[in-house]
Amino acid sequence: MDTPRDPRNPAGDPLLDPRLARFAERSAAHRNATQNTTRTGTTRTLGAPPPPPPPGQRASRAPAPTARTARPRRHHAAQGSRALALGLSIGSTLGLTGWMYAAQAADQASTTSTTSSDSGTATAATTAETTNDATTADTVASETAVDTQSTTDDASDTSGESTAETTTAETTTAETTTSTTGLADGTYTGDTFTNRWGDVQVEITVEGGVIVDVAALQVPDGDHKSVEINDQAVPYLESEALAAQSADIDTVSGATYTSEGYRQSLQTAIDDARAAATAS
Amino acid sequence: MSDIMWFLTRSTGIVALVLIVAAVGDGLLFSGRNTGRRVRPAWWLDLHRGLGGMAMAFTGLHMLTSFLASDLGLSWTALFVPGGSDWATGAFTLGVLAFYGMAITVFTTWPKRRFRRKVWHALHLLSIPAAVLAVVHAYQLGTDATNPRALVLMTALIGLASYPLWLRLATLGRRPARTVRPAVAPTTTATPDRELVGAGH
Repeated sequence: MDTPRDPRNPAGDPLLDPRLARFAERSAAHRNATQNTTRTGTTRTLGAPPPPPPPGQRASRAPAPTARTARPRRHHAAQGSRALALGLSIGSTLGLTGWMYAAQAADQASTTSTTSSDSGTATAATTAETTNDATTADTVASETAVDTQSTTDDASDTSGESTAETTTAETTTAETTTSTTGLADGTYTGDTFTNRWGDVQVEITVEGGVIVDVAALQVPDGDHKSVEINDQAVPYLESEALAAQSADIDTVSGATYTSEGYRQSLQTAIDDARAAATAS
Repeated sequence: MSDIMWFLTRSTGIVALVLIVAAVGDGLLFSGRNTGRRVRPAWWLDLHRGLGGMAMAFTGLHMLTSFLASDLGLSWTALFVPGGSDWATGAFTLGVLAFYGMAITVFTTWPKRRFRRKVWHALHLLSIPAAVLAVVHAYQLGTDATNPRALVLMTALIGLASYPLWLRLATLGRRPARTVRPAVAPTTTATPDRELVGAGH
């Protein structure tokens, strides 16, 4: 192809002519690239029949090229950026999922290990208290036995005196146990603590200075998920509270809000029991 | 298995929210004719379409995994009918409406030429309230919504989306600047030009 010439400068421009020549070559190459090529690599124009195969070789099974196959592939201007965004999205999803799974596993592991150590401590405390109670009970029993024996002689006054002695024994028991644990007998309702899922309120029952029952009066139950979580978490929290005999209990994995509210409400109830003991 | 589905629900929800805000912000920047000179409009438009499609895909994944997370107890009614959930009804309704807004936006883009421009544009603008509803849905229902890092992310997303929105509102009525190519006669072709991609939709 002849290099196009500027009619205003037919002699040619030493700087312009090489550029025009390159442009002409590039245009010709682009034109050739849009034509069909067979499997053998020979170039032919569109619409022409395929060339016969060489001797000894089968005809190509490739479908007859049509004008449609000559259409260039669609190019996305932001192909790289889209691929990057897709990769980041998938990576973020998997990364977040893995992080959440690892966090839950770590919570469960720490809860399990802390529970076993706390159980040991709680068991020792309970054993000590039981021993205390046993000693107290023995003392009371011996006192009752002495008192009972002293009233056996007069049968008519036995019942009254027994009652009085029983009351005395109970009072003795109560006084002895309260001074050990600092909690007055009775039922105490803790304050209500509200979190984003609902209210949490706890009630404790103290007998003989020992927390014998912990009941959750209110827990979040406004949605199915909360109900399912708390059905599993609340019994665990109750057992932990009874074992610890305090509000120093661990958070249940997956029930962070309920555990925190439970702890706080339990603490206020224990504080009330302690205040009642101090007042008496 | 249910735990994995639960984690996937949360993670796909977070990623879908980021993609929605990114797609809306990219579209607002593009339509505001503030794409700058260094990046061509075709690049912005192509990225906007890609982000929109990915946001739709991850929203679908989020809905699927929330259905498969058995302890959530979600039914098809809760996923596709506004007000069809028996718990956290308001938050679920917002999510369903956001999904439908996005679906209308995305699926009316392909047959764009079948609509009148004004009709198509009005349908496409549903993406903005859909994004807002998605953010509110995430805050109300998201387990990670009270996480400080998630709060920082949400605040950043809202800030990043607000800037192009205000920019677009400020450029309302302004005609796009068109690049005028000088008429070049075949015989007087000087240096070969790069192939310019048409601007606009």
